Amino acid sequence: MHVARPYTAVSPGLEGDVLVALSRTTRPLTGRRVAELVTHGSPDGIRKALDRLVDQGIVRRDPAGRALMHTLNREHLAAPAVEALATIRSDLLGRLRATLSAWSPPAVHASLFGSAARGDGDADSDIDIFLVRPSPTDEADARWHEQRERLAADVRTWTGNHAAVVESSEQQLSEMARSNAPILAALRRDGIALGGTPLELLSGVQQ
Amino acid sequence: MTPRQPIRTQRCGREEARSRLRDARAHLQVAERATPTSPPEEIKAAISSAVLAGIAAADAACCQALGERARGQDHLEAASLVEQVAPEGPTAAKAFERLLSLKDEAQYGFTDLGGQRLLASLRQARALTAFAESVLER
Repeated sequence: MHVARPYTAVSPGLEGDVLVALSRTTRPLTGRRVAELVTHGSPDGIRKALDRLVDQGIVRRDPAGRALMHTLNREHLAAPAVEALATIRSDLLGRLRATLSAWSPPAVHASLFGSAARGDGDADSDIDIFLVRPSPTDEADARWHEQRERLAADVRTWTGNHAAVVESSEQQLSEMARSNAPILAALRRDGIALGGTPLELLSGVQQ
Repeated sequence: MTPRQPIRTQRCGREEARSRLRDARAHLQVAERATPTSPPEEIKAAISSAVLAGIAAADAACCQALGERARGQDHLEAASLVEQVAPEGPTAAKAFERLLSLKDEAQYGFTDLGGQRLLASLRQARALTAFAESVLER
């Protein structure tokens, strides 16, 4: 799955990009504005995609002065499918949170980080997950190991991407904070909380 | 809520959205240090931080969904932009307006604002930060 454009798994053309951009706002947009929001594809390609979507009735095109304004037709039968495409990324986060909330022993902290968190990767990007293991659970603890392996397998099944799981003990986390480990800076900058105590509230990590 | 004149905006995107969301979380964290029993001046400072959290969260959501944020002095313009973010924009815009109604009193006023207003501002700032998070997670 393309981590920045997950909807391309089922809608690989520019139509998917255009529909998702329009789904994020109720504001009527010019074709040029749509092209700016999509950020890739040529303006001509976006215009042709808009033409095709207007033909299908899923996008409305209305004149406003000399401009043509576009909105997602939220009453179209296919509109729920557009909403589903637009929420693939948040659905992944929801599944990760639900899975982690059922863990025993639970993770002290869990975050998504890296390109999947930033939303700027591609289809080959790993899904990077950071876990803090509770004391005194050992890395080799059978239950911990099994749920971690299952999580990685689930991510592969859900997305087709490799899950790169980085984990530390609470003590190792404190050491990482003392040494200003780069991964902590990345987590603070781009991390998306998935469960447990927020990183900034964990003892040893507080700034 | 629709402003009478065109809204002054600044172009921004995903990177700026993430940066403003970090700002929102940091301001909210500062605001949450106060309680209704804190000294009046600390309550005002906390409400001011909650307002800043809300403004940053609104920027984050607008940058991500609309590709621009409001840059005028009239923060109600920003609320009208927030309203256009789908699907929860209208609800978030109402929370934003309520929060902004405390801005001048918190930042420049002579009177104390009280614990109830602190709690209300924290509730609205948390709702707006959660709204921005949900927009960025889409």
